[in-house]
Formats: sequence, structure tokens, C-alpha cells
Amino acid sequence: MARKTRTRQVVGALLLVWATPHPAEAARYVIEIKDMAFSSAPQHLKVGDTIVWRNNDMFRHTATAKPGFDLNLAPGAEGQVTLKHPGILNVICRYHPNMTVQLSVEKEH
Amino acid sequence: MLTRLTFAALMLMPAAALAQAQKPNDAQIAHIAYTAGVLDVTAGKQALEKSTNPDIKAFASEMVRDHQAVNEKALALVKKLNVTPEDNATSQALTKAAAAKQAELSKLSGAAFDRAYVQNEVAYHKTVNGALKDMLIPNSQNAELKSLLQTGLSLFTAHQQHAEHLSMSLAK
Repeated sequence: MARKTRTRQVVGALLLVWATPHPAEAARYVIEIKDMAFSSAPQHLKVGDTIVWRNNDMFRHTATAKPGFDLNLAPGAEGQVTLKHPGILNVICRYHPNMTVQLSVEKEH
Repeated sequence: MLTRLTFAALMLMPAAALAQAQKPNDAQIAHIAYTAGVLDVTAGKQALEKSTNPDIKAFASEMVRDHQAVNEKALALVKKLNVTPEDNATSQALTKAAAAKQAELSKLSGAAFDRAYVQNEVAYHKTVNGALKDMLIPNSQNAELKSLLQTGLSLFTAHQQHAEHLSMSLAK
């Protein structure tokens, strides 16, 4: 009985280790908005990575991807999104549609 | 027809007038840039009052918000530099042309107003872009003023593109 319980505990602990994403794998990137433009897209983005959108312009902007996210950023503000699906994300500013950046998201490890 | 021709001449005038006149100094440049922003804010407010098209209203809100933002920076800068913006022929020509356009637009409504407003926004931003590129930026002496004008140019360029897109979508 005691042995069985112990085995279960070990298996349970192992499952927990497997199920928890390795924290070192998720990366955090910053895309800056300045002079009416997004900075260039980070390379090799993966599901689980986080992107911080930082508005260093004097104008209000958005970082919008449909479907996906819609961050409304006052001058000086920032917001973040975690990438949930692999694929291409075309991000625009709703206020200034000529501002675009394309994110290419790969599957997680 | 005559009115249209007169208006077209006025829209073209600032560039030509300035090219022939003496090079503008920083006080005049600040006045022209600030005036150009104020005039577009006024046009945007007119569109917000008159239009019912959500795309036009969104565009007009963008004009009001962005130009007010850059003009706040301009005011802070001239204060810091202790420069008093100086009225001049270019500012006056821009103001006169904008007043004529506003009067013309006030007589229109619905889709006709929307089209005329957006077409004028395209033309207006083109005119101001030309002035920024060819006269205001090259002649500005103060580095901070030059930098703010360059931000203004990227703003006016983005607005021009947005207005062109909007104009095409209205034509469909």
C-alpha cells in the first residue's frame, strides 16, 4: 500500500514536471512605436512568447491584429500580448493604417 | 469654376510665395507649422459635426487628436526656445484657403460632404508635405524645431496615405 502510494507520488511529480512549460523557453520582446512606425518584428517568435508594445511616439496608436488583439496605447503607454497560436499575424495601427508590422509565429518547442 | 480655380491657385500659393520670398526664419516656420495643424483640426471638427459616416468620423478624430498633440509639443518648444511665432504671408494664404474650403464644405451634406472633405484632406496634406520637405525643414535653424518638423512630416505623410485610402474606398 505504502509502496503504491509512493509510486503514484513519483509518477504525479514527473507528470507535473512534464506539464509545466520550461520558463526559460518563453521569451519577451519589445516592439517600439516611434515616428509613426513600428520597429521591426523579432525573428523566430514562438507560441508562448510575449511581446511588449511600447508607444514612444507623441501620438496615440493601437497595435491591432484581427483576430488576435487590440491594444490602445496612449503616448508613453505600453501593453503586452502573449502569442497563442502559430502563424502569420498582420498587425496594424487602427488610427494610422499605413503603420504595419508582420509577426511570424512558430510552434512552441 | 472660377471659385475652383481660385482655390487651386491658393492651395499652390504657399509653396510658390515662399520660394520667391526670403527664406523663412524659425519664428515664421513655427507659425506656419502650427497654423497648418490648427487648420486641419478645424476641418476635422467640421467633419465630426457634419458627417455620419463612421470611417470619416474616425479619420476626422485622428486628425484632431494627432494635430493637437503635435501642436502642444510645438507650443512647449517655442516657449522653451523663447521664440514668438511670427505671422507671415504663407500662414495667411493657408488660412485664407482653408476658410474658403470650410465655407464651400458647409454647403454640402451626406456622401457629397464626405467625398469633398476627404479629397481636400488629400490635397491639403500634399501641400503641407511639400512645404515641410522643400522649405520648412531645410530652412529651420534650431535642431529641436527641425526634429519636430520631421515628426510633423511623417505624421502628415501617414495622414495623406490614410486620406487616399479613404478616398478610394468612398469612390467604390
